[in-house]
Amino acid sequence: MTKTWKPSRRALLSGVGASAAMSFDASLARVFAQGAGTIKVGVLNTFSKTPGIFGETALRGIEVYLDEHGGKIADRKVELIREDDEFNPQVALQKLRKLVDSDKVHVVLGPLGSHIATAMAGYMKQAGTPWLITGAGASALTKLRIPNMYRATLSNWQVAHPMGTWSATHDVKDVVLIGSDFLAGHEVMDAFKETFTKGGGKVTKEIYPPIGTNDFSAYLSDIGASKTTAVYGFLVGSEAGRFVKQFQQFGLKGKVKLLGFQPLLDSDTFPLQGTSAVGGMSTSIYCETLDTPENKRFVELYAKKSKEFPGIMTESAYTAVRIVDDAAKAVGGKIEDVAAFCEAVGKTNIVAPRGPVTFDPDTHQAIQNVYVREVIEQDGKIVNKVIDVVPKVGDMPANKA
Amino acid sequence: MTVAPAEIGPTRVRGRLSAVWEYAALAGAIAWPVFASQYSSGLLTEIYIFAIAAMSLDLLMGYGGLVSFGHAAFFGLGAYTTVIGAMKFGLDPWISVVLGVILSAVISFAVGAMCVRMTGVVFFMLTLAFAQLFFSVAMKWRWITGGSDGIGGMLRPSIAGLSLGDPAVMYFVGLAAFVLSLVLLRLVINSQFGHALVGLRENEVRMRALGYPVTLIKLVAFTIAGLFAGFAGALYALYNGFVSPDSLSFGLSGTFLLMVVLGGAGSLMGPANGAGVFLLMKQIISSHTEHWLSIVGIVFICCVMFFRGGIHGLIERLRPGAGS
Amino acid sequence: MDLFISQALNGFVYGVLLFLLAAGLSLIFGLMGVVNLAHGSFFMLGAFVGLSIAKATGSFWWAVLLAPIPVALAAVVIEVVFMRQLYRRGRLDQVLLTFGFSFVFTDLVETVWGKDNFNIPEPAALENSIELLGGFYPSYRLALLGFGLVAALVLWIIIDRTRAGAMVRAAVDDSSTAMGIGLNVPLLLTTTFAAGAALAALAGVVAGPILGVYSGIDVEVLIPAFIVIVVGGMGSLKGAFVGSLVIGIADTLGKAYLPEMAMFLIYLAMILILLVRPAGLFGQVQTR
Repeated sequence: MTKTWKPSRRALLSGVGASAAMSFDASLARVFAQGAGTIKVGVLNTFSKTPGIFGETALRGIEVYLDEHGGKIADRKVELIREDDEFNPQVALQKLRKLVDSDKVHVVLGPLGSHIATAMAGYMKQAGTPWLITGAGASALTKLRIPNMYRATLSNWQVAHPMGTWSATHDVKDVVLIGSDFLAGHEVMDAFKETFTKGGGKVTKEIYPPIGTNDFSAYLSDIGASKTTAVYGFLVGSEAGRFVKQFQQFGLKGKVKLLGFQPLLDSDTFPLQGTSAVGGMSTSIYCETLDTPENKRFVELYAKKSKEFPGIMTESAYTAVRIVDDAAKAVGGKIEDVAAFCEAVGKTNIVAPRGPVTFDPDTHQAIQNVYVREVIEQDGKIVNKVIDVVPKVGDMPANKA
Repeated sequence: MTVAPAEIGPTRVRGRLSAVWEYAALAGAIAWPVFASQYSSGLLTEIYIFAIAAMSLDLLMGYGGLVSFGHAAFFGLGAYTTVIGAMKFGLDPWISVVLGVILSAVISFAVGAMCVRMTGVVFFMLTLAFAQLFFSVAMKWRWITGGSDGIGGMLRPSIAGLSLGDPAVMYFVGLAAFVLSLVLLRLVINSQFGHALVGLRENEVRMRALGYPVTLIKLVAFTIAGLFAGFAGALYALYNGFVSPDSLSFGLSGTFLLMVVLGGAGSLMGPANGAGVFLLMKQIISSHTEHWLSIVGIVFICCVMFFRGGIHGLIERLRPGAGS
Repeated sequence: MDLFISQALNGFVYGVLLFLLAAGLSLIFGLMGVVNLAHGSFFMLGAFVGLSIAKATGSFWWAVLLAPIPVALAAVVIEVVFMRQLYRRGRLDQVLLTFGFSFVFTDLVETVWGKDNFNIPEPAALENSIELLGGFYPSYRLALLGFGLVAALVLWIIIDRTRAGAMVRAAVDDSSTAMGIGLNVPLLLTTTFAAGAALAALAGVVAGPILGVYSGIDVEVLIPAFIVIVVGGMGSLKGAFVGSLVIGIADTLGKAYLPEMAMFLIYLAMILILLVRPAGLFGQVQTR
C-alpha cells in the first residue's frame, strides 16, 4: 500500500455534479428574470422564530405600496425577492450573498435585527448595492458612514433616549429594565438609562433574557418582589406579546407602570396581548392613530391587507419603498446609477404616514418625530394614542462627531 | 450503545485508475473560478471548509467508531479564536489562525482525555455536554465573544500580497487547505496508528489483549479530529469575516454528523462529498422548494436503512469490478 | 407572595413539563437502548396538532385529549416499519434513524403550519390569576402543576404496580431473559415507543400556552430533556421525576439570579455526573 494520494471517482463525479447543478441553477435564474427593465428588490427580513410577525408585516407594507403603484417603481416592474434571515447573523450573511451575488438585486431592504445589520455592514460597504434599512436600529451603524446605506427607520438611541427624559419628568422614580439579550436590547437600555438617570431616576435592576425566551415567569416573579414602580422593556415579536400578557397574569399590571421601546406595544403585538397592553406607554417614530391625511390614507390602504392596524415595521417598509420610488424617479428610473440614486435618496424630504422624514447628510440616519404613546381601548380595538411629541429627532451626537 | 463493526464503512484500498479521476477533479477545481460565477465559487469555498470538518469527524467516527455529537465545539473554537485574536487582541490574522488551530488541538486533547474513557451513550452525552458548555460561554460572555450577536468586521489577511477578502483568493486558500487536510488525514489513516485505530473500532477487547494502548489511541484520534475541525473553523472565520454562536451549536454538530453518514463514514472522501452534497442541496434545493430539509432527512433515512456506506458506498458499488 | 415560593412554583411548572418529556425519553432509552433524537419532534408535533385541534374545536381540552393520538400513531409506524429492521444492526443506526426523522418532522411542521411563533390560548376557565399567599399566580400554571403531578403518579402506578409495567421493567432489566420467559418484547418496544411519543406530544400541548408553538422548539426542549435524564439516571422513571424538578428549579433560579453563569454551571454539572457517576441519581449501570 503506497502512501500516495488515494484518489476516488467520487471526487470527479461530485465535481461534475456540482458544476452541472450550479450552471443549471444560474440559467434558471436568467430564464425567470424579466428582462432589463425589471427592478429587483431584495427583502432580507425575519420571517420565522419569535420576531417572524415583524417580517411578515414589513413585507405587507411593501406590498401595499406596490399595489398602490401598479407594482412598479419609476415605471419599471418590480420583482420582490424575499429571504428569511431567521434572526441569525450567520444565516443573514448567507442569504445576503445570494441576493447580491447571485440574484443581483438593485436594492436591499431590511433587515430587522440590529445585530444582523451590524454583521451585514462590512459586506454591504464592499458590495456597494443601495441598502435601505427598514427595521434595525443599531445606534452605531450610522457612524460607519457607509455611502450606499440609508436608514429609513428609527435608530435605537433616537427612540429610547426621549423615553428616559420623559419618564423622569412624569412621575417615574425607579425602574427595572428588561431588554432582549442582543445588540439592540443593550443599546436601547443604555440610551434610556443615560437620560433617565440624568433626570434623577434610579435604575433598580437590569435583566437581559436571551433571544427566543417564551416564558418570563422567573423574571416576573423577581420584578414583583423588587417592589419597583415601573418597568421599561424591549422585546421583539412574540416575546413582546407574551411578556406583556404574562405581566398581567403575574399581577403586575396596574401595580407597576409598563413602559416600552416601540415594538413592545405595537399593532403587531396587540393580537396576542389583548387588553393586557392597555395603559402601557412607549416611544416610537410612528403611531397608527396619527391624525394626519397621510396616515389616514395609509391605514385605509392597509386595511385591505389586514384587519389589524399597521405597526411600526409596516410603516417603515412602506415608506422605504416610497423613498426608493421617489429617488428612482428623480434619476429618471436609472436605479443602476448607484451614485446618483443614493444621492437622490439622501435628498429625501417627504411627509410619510409617520410624519416628516429627511436624512442626516453625514450619517444617513432618518430624522423624524418621536411620539410618546399610550395604549388605549378604542371602539373595541386596542390601539396606540399619541400623548406627546418630540419633533425632528436626529442621530446620536456621537455619530455626528 | 456500542458500535457494531459492520455499521461503519470499511476502509478500502483504491486502484490506480481512480488516481486519474481525482487529479482530473483537482484540475477542474483549480479552473473553476475562471469560468464560473463568483457566487458558485463562494459556495465551493464553503464546501471545502465544511469538508475538512466532516473529514475530521470521519476520522473519529468512521475510523475510530466514536460517535460524537459535539464536534462543532472545536470548529467553533477555531473560529472564535481567530476572530477574537484579530479583533479583540489586535493580532495578525494569520497568527490568530495558527492560535486557533493550536487551541483547538489543546482543548480537544483535554476534553478527549475526559471523554474517551467512556463509551457508547455516555461518550455521546459527554461530547454533547462539552459542546453546549462552550456554546453557553459564547452566548453569555458578551464582552469577549459578542454574545448572540457574534463578532464581525474582521479584516482579512493577505497571502503573497493577495487579500483573502477577494473571493477568488479565498477560494484557492480553501481549496489548498482542503487538499492539504485530505493528504494529511490520509497519511494518518494509512499509518500504523490508523490501522490500530480501525482495529480497535472492530474489536476493542482483542486490541487491548494484544497490548495496544487503546485509550491513548482514541485520545490521539480525538485530538487530531479536533485539530482539523479547529482548522476548518478558523478558515470559516476568514471566509465570513464573522463568527457567532452558531458555529458551536448543537445544530452544527448534527450537520457534521449528517455529512459523515450521508457521504459514507470511514472513507474520508465520502464525508467530504457529503459536505458538498448537503450544502448544494441546501442552496439549490432551497431556492426551488421549501422542502430541502425533508429531502435531506429522507435521503439520510435511506442511507441509514439501505445504503449504509452512504453515497460513497453507493458509488463504490457501481464501479465495474470493484473489490472489497 | 414570597419570592421563594413563586420562583419554586415557576421552577416546578417547568419541571413538570420536562418530566412529561423526559419520562418517555428515559423509558425509551431504558427499554430500547436508543437515544430518541426525534423526541423533541414528538413534543413539537403534539403542540402543533393541539394548536389546530384547539382552533378547530374552540376547546383546549379536546386538544389535550386528541393531539397525542396521531403522534403516537406516527411513532408506531416509525418503530414497526423502520426501527424493527435495524434491531440486528445495533443501536447507533436506530439513533441515526430518529435523527433523520427529526428533519422530516421539522419540515412537515413548517410546511403545514409555517415558520411563525404560534400560541395556544389557555382554556377560558384558567385564563386568570388566582390570589395566592398575598400575590397573584396564573391559574393555568397551577393547574399544569397539579396535572403534571397526577400524571407522574399515574405513570408510576402503571410502571411499578401493574403487570404491564412489570413486563416493561423486566424487558429493561434483561431483554433476552424477558423474551425467554415469553414476553413479546417487540410489542413492548413498540408500545413503549408510542407511549413515550404520546407523553411528549401531551407535554407539547399543555406547554403551548407557556412556551409557545414553533418550529425549533424541538431542539430547545430536547437538550434540557437530555440533561434531565443524565442527572436523573437514564432508564429510570424516578430519576426523570427528580431530575426534571431539579433542572426546572435550577433553570428558573439560574435565569433570574445567575443569568451569566447558569447555563454554564448546569452543563458543568452534567459533565461531572457523566464522568463521576454516569448512571445518574437513580439509573442503572448499563451492561450493554
